[in-house]
Amino acid sequence: MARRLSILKQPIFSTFNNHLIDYPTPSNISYWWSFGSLAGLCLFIQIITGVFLAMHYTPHVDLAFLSVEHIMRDVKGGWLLRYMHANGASMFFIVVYLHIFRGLYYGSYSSPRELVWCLGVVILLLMIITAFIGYVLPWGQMSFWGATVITSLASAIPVVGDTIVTWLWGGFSVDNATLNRFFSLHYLLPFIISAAVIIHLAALHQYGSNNPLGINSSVDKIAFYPYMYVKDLVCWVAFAIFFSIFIFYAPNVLGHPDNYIPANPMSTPAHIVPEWYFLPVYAILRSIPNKLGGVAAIGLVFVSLFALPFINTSYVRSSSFRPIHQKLFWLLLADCLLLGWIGCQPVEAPYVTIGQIASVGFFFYFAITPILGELEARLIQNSNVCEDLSPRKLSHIFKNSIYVVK
Amino acid sequence: MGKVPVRLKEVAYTISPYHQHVMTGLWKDIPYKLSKKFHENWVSAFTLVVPIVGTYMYAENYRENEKLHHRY
Repeated sequence: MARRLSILKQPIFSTFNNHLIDYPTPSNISYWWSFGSLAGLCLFIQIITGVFLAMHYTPHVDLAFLSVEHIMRDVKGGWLLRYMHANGASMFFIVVYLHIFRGLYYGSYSSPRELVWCLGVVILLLMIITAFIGYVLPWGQMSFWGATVITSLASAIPVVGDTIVTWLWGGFSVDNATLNRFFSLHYLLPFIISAAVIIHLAALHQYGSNNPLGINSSVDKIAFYPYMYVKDLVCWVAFAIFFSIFIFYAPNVLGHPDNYIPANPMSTPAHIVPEWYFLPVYAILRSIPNKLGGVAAIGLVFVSLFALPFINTSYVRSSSFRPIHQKLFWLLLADCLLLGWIGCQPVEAPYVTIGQIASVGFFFYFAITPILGELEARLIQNSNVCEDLSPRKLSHIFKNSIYVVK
Repeated sequence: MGKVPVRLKEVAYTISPYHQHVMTGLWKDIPYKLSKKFHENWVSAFTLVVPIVGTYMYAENYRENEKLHHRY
């Protein structure tokens, strides 16, 4: 493309050209690789709708709920903005979870893309904080009590816990001070996420995208534009249809009806439940009877995700060529779906036991990762094909083959 | 850009889309394609579906038994 349009060789335009137009992309990447750009689209939608919502929202305990109703009823297109923003958050998490699971299946986290993965986990963490804070803003019953429950978790920290909670709240309970600072942070954090996304893409563009085979794809690259641009466009259109079904036909199905009741500090809901995208982590938190233990377990979830590229010992990236890991992947997915279901159930039998077993199962996947690579390598070594090869020779072949990680 | 310079391939289309029969190609040998998909992925599908369905059925059965146990 730069050969036809010389302006693309000029400064600024050349950066644009190198990263978005003539950028080398593996020719065999599937539609699972479109979720990255889709996540970027979701971030853009959230920022734009959020900025316009903020023009009409009032961050005061006596006015917040009413201002949201004002947006829904009186502001031209306000209902659309609100539903796009609320459902857009859910869409954002669906897309990002699919993006993460694609990375797990095809080994996109392994060398040399460890930094890309770690930055992705940072983005996920920022998204979770932003979404949690944003859910408080409508000041409904779930907003208030969800904020109370989750911010109170910080009191589990020994010695300074209560001080930290008071500092977070800006007072002695979730009140006006909390709402104001949450509004401020909810406006700020998406721009921090945007910066993290730019660094995530820069890290990705160091070595290029992975591909379904998990092999080095330098021998077969095509330009991003027009091929991947058109592919992503197809995905964007499909996403727009899926998104529209929720906005126009079922805008409240992913929400909780209790959040249409104004917050009442004197009345605790029977079941305090976060939004669906927090349910798996919420289930892990509730599985541990001890408050500090539950908080530590949540921390361990993110530590495990961060550590994954560094504890992986497999020489093969893609699960297409790792039969044991493939089964474990599907078990992990089943486990996460079960945790999500358990998260919205009451804390009673048999859900408590199921939640505890599922939580152990979640961490089991990460615990077995260091052993799994070695186990699969030994199985290959012990098979008839590799009978004559010593472990040293096998390792040498793996390291120099196009099928491997390095 | 990436650390290793790569040569980009240019894909050249010489056949008009109207002569490529893209859509009919999708439906061609559909039973064989479905059968192949099933044979390649049935173990993975079971690994995903069975724990979820099995756990849900166990939980429902447990609750039902508890209701019966508390019934006079």
